[in-house]
Amino acid sequence: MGRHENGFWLMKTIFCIVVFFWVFLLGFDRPGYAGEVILIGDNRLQPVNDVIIGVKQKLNMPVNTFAPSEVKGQLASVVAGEKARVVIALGREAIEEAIQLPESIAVVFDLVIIPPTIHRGNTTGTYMGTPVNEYLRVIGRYLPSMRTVSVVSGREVMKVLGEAGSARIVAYDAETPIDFINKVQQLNSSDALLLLPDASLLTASAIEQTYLFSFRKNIPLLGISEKHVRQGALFALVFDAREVGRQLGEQTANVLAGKAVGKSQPAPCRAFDLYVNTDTARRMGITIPDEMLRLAKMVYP
Amino acid sequence: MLKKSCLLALVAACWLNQMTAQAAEPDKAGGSAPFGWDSSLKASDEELLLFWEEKQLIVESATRSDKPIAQVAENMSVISAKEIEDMNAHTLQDVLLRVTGVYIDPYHTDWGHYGSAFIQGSKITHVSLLLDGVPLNLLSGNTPFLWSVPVQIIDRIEIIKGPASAAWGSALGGVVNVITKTAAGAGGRGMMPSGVVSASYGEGESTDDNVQMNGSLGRWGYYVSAGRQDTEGLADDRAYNNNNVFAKASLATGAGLNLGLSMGYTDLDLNYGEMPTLDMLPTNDSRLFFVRGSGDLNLSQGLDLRMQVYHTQMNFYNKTMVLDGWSGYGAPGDLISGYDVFEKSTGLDGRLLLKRGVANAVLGVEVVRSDLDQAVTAGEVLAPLFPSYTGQSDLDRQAIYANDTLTLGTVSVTPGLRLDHDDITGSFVSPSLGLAHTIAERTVWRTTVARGFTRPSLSDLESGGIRLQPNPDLKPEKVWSFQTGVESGLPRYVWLKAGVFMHRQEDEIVYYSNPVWNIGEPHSETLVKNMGQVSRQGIELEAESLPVHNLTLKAGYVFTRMRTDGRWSDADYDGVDDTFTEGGVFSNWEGNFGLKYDDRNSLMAQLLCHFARYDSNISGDDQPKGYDPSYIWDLHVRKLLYATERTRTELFFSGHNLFDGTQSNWDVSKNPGRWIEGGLRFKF
Repeated sequence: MGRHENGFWLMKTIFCIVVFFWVFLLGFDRPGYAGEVILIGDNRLQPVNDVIIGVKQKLNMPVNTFAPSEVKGQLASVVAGEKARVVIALGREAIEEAIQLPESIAVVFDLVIIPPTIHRGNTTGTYMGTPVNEYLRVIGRYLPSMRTVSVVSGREVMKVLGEAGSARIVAYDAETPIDFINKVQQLNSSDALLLLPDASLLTASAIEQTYLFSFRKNIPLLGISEKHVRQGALFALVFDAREVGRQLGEQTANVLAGKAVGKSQPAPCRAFDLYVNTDTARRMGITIPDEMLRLAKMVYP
Repeated sequence: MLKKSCLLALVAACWLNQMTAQAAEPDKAGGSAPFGWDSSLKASDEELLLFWEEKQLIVESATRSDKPIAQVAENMSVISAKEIEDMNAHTLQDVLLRVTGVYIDPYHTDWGHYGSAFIQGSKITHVSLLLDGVPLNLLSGNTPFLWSVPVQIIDRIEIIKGPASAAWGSALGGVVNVITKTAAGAGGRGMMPSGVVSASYGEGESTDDNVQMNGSLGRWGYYVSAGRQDTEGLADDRAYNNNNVFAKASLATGAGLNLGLSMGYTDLDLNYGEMPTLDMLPTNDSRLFFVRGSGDLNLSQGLDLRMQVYHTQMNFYNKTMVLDGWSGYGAPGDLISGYDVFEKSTGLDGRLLLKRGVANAVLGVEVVRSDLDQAVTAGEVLAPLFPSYTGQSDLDRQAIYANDTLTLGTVSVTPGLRLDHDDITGSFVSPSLGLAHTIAERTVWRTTVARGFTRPSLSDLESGGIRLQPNPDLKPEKVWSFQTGVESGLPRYVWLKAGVFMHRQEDEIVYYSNPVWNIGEPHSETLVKNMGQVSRQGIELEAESLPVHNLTLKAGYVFTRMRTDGRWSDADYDGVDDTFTEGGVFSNWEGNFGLKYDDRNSLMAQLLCHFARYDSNISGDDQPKGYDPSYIWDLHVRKLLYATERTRTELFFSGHNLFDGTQSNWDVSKNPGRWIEGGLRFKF
């Protein structure tokens, strides 16, 4: 009954598996030369991969990639070992590690909604959030009938993305998701409600309530992302991850060419993709000009 | 007893709610900030989820490591909790019925049926069911214990279609990995508790009641669910009762270590329904208990350790009684036969996840010890033919596996290798190689080559069954598989997925029994052997449109062609395989069609259709079964009644099998005709 095992064969197979594991890791390890540029980002996430592709398209040189967990607490020695001059940091965890480096190492960052307040020289970057003035530019040109646009957001996000002094914008401050929902539900006279990417407020429930408000009150939602437009927002201006990567690549190339970063202000992405939902427009009696539709990367439906 | 338990759970939930309402104000994330970091900023993944769907960011079942679905080479489907709620599913089978490529056996279909799952024409024994990675296949028969998983606790289901042995071991047909809802708020963010209370009532006195709560207490996050389903049966008095509780807690210690603990209990009683043509009334009583502890530890740069230890107990008791008494088996209510199985398993699995450069690698080990006790009881009339007996067996399994996802620009290459060993059938090596290539924006091409296996059941190997003679020399069924397909959102108004699969199986496990046996005649036993090869080839197509005037169209179709080779067998039980049986070719097709209306305001309605024609010997014997294709139409409607800033109250209604379709491959157990139900759901 049963089978007699060849113990040697078994051990050989186990050994092969372990060797296989390490061979594939070592074989595809970063190249054996030092890189002037290293990138810290969690490439398990698709947006990080897209940014990396954009960076490599622009830089035309090898870029060694590390996960934040790989370099936690040890980034300085990694940078020294790689002889890197520039660190590209994607995401909050990566930025937290990078800004602890000596100021002689330039840090370029992205994949945060708004830039952190960094008291460190030789640091710059871009951020994911779309400034309000980009929306105002689209509205001013294509939807001039939208005279009043309400924005409900936390103070920090509003400070960075908000447009001070614009007659079109009516801003409301919210601190919690419940506060956010309460403020949204009190809006009755707006021509549109603009969402800002404030993760502390935009819980799944808050977004659901906002859509409900939008359709009941016939007040179009100006969303943050393509998925919001697909779910019913009128339009959204969204950063393109690969374009962000190219932008970071250019900033990095400038540093390598000797241009001082100094205390350059972080900037938003310089180009945004427009997504439009014509079904929402039709239901709310809004006419979307053909020119706006031609500009859109994707028109739903 | 369970009503008291539910009431206690509800009281506990209210008490917890009160406690957490008085808890600290929501944390503004993390104390003093280094170098002027703003305290209002949140973790990267939460920010990214504002822009992308979760599955676009990460799935985990393909290689047992986290990666976006665009890097997954396997043919994978992901079903979310929202989709499950929209289809008003009562059981896991209701959900899987809507997945292209997964076929649910309509045997004993009813409200709360326990039909089994087949993937791409596989057998039910080829499908591995996991709950947060804990195996839930009955060892006695390798059947996935689908009906033991309450559908309300599901966060998402990741389904791998095709062999998944390089990651999961015995899974020749595929894997259904049920991932439960997370215990939110772990890590001290002081979330307000949230939850759902729902109740429904329908024909056949069918009720489905459930309470869920989710929140945090300090660094602990928790999730609890308690539910009860009950019906007198929609056809042939197929009564069903299911009571379940589930609890999960997680703790972020803040030292790079996250701990989790979950446990669940399901108690299910069902009546298969009266079978007057056979003079039988079969019933089933099943129980599942499991407890799982997990730990996730960051060891060093780029190196994480994930471990889990679990214990499961599964009890499955089938009893068949005399219905009318005309057959001579005894008086009405007498026992004809009983089959009682008690299994327990204790397992430990640990894996190292290593990220270096372009590599995302996993090295894991598994150790499982299982025990099986089974008892076969014959009634008074049948006792002379097969005496009652008890049997015990045990199984020790070990495995070591490794895989790596190498991301090179837009291409991800995933080699994998796994060695499984058990103390009865020996060892098996499962290699795999996959490739996922983002060939254009929103378009991914996937290809995999893999070898897989399914271990014979313990009943087939050692303990036997009702007139089943075990065969300790059984070998695992094996398969070589090739799949390739494309998935694209490039067309303007529609998402498309198309793929082909080819599976070549060897050493198919086949049962031979004397087809005629009556009381008084010498009985013969059922034998089980490896023999023959089976080829399964097919095509899968799926499409989903964007919402147009609030309407979304969704369709899926699978065609499978199966060919069994001719085989030699010992039909006269003289110990010589001298009877040749010709092979056969069978074709199956099945699919789903759906039309959804969602005005994003207060009304959602879904019209779903499932169609199937199954022309093959899916039960494992040599008798082809066929029936005219039939279409089962269901309608689900949900209306928002009232919403505040914190609560939503919804009314829902479902009409099942609207046009009285028939979709059963067994005349004595047809699916129910049209029936309706309705209910209320309160979310807070």
